Amino acid sequence: MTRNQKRAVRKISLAALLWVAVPLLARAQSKGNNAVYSGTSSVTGSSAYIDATAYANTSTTICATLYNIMSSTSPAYPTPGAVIDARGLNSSNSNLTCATNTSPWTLSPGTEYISKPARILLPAGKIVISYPWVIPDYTKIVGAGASTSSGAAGATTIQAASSFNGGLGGPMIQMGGQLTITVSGNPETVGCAVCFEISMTDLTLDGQSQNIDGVDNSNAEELSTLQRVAILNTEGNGVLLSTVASGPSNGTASHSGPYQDLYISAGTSASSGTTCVKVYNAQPRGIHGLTCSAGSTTAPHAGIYLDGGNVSLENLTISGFADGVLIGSETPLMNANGLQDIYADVLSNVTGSTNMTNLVHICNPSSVNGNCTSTGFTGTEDIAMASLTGGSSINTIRDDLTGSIVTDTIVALYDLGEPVQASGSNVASSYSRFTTSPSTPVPTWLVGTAVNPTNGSCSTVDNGSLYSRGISGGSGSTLWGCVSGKWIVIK
Amino acid sequence: MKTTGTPGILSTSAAILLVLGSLSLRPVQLHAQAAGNNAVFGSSSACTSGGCIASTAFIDASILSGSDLCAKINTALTSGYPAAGAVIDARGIGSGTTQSCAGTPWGTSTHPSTILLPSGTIQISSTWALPNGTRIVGTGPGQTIIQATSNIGTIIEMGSSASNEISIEDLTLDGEGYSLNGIANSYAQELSYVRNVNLYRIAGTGLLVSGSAQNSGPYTDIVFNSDADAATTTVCAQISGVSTRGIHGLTCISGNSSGSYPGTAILLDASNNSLEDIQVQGFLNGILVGKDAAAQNDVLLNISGNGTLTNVVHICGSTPTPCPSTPYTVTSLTLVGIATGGGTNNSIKDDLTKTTLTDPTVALYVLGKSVTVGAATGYSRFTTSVNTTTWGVGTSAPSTGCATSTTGSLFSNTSTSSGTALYVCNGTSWAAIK
Repeated sequence: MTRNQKRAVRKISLAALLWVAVPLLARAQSKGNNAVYSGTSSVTGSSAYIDATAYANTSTTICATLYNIMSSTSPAYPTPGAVIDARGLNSSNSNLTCATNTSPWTLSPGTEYISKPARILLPAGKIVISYPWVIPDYTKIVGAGASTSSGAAGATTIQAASSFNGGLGGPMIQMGGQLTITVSGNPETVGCAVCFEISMTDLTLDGQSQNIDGVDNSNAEELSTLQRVAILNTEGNGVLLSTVASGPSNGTASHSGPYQDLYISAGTSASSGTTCVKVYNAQPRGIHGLTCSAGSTTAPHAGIYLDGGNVSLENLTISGFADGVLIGSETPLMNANGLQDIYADVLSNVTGSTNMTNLVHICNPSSVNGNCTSTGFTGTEDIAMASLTGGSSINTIRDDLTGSIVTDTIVALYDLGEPVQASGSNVASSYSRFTTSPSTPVPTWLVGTAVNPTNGSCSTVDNGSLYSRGISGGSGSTLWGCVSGKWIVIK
Repeated sequence: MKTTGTPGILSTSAAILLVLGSLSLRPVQLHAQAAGNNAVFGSSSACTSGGCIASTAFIDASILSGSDLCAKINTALTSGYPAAGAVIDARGIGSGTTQSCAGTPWGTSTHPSTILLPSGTIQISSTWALPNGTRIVGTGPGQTIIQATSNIGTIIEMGSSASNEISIEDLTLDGEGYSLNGIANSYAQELSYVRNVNLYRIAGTGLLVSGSAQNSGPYTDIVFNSDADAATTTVCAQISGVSTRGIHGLTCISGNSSGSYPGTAILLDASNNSLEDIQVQGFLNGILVGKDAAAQNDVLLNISGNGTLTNVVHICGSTPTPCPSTPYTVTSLTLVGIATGGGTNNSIKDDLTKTTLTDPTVALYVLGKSVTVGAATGYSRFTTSVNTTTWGVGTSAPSTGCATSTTGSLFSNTSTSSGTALYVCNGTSWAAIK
């Protein structure tokens, strides 16, 4: 090879090296960017999302990795937020057990808390936490899927470590809220009092039978929700939707939701206070789709505490609780948002089981029964219920306001309106009400083809029930009333 | 040398290029943990040697072995598949084309997974039976189309034994006019659902939920369009013998011409279900309640026709055809917001109380339980329709007669100036009660 030939080879080699290397080097990108082809043989970084794998380390927990991404200054985490794809984190490249007193938003509670918008995709598998996740404004947590069992393959499980939160209780997940931290020796309030767009979807929470809550929301409002979430073995509240009890924050879960397609199983360690959902002094958009169960020997008081107004509960299946839905049992709360009342609630397609006392129990603090209290809500009214299915030997409806117990296994409609006559020393309160239940002690209105039931027995319906002849003909009478066991002509 | 040397130089250069060219790809391959892993930038330097790492966020099935889409997905499921489960991204396999599957993506695999399907048409010749924990997601109805190439019985079965967490989203199932089922769920329970799915050219049953599918659903945002392939027995959806979280958002369209409409769009043969936001056109009956099994305590909300149906909602009793001559137990139904959509058809036909309502819209019709009254059967019932027995309220005494069909209706006069406050319709006029 001549000198010129060698020189030519060197030139070609150098050109080739540059041809190969320059496109890549020229497109140096941020850590965690996705590699996409920008040409036939070169790749460039896309900031469509941040893959947390690039930040992973076997000695770093998944919480710390997420924290490091959101708190990063080089490369700087985008101010408007980003999608953080943590689905590639696993036990081979990460520690999936978060350290004590850490979460993706703090590694040092009391001195720091980051609040940056994000959509975080969590991996399939089990993530163990020992400190509540206080989710900031505009944060969406998306799992790989929910499951009815903890740690199931193909699903994301967030499991509370034993002695969660140092045994102090509290929720595994808190949707928003304010915290006071100390920065440079000075107290500083961080987080959001009135929060928006906080959501969790497609994952499972496992409380490991501790007396803790699954998800608490007293601050997150519009566009905040849970969807396809399973909550297992939390022996406090599975989901608590309430209002901040004190202080000027005005925090509330009102306008959040709907909370959809939930599976909450309190397990065999449920205590008397264990519940699937508690709505307290708030008006969320409802619970739509819930299977709620407890397997303890002694049934907890209630599957759902309904102590708020304008709430819709739809498509629920409840088992293992003394009361399926308990309305108005808690002590009302006067706070910055004013006094909340219970009104205009809608229950639709609610199914119980044989091992409960009442499927729906409406409390009257003046006439306490079962799990109701004398300090509970007064003034409960306008409760509409359609399609309630109890079980054998249970009360489908116990309405302490009207003193009615409906034992029909199925009830198409029970609408309780408003008081029309106040109760007094010798006068029971009365309400506008209509129900399709024909069983005592709730009068109803029947329509039929019997042309003349006069003096016929009406012992299967309650005194005061009406019967309209729905066809022409007969004796000329068209309306009867049930009086002392017989149909008496009214007109 | 000069003439012979040039090729040597070129070949040497080519070799260098080849090596360097392969190096340009090596960074992606160097740290790949498994085929199909995604490449991401590991540092700010770039995807050069050592700077590009593999992410197991998902498995891209496009580079896996397999003779077709389903085979490649099966490779992902059966070769080094993570025990914790994974997302299998198959969107890069023949995207936008028509492609066939010789088998199913699962074969004998039962691993839970989330499978992202490509756009285009996927032709299948055997039923896809989704294992426990399987979620399939298309790119959208009309974009991802799973098409049956023959009458395979059912296009997709949600589980083949008791299971949970099975879902189908964002795709079209094309029955090619065969008398088959689109989606059948007899096994999948909690956290199992169908969302945003188009059921197209299915001459059998579009969505069949039965057996042990309790607590499944909701089945939301579904469009059934048989096109011109509907038979008289074509059914848009059927819930049979099982309580679910309901069907919420469903459009049922038969492309048949009048005179050959299928009998029923939705067969509700089960208890404790909610049907909401449903629109039906091109069937004789919109929702037929209690034809093949008992139906109690169901809620129907916002149901409308388009003026072509004979009955928007038909409650079976002892009147046969299409109902059985020996009726099943049908009680406790709540109907809210029923509309004919025009025409002269019936909004509600209730065989139990012998009531047929032609009102274009009915706000509320609640049928309770039966009670023996005299020699006949009465029902607790309340409706806002003024064309049957109801309860009216006004501020003056009724000034006209009442129709025979409203016999037994009550009327309350809220005016205190009139001596009578309560009336009953005796079939021709309002008779004062008190």
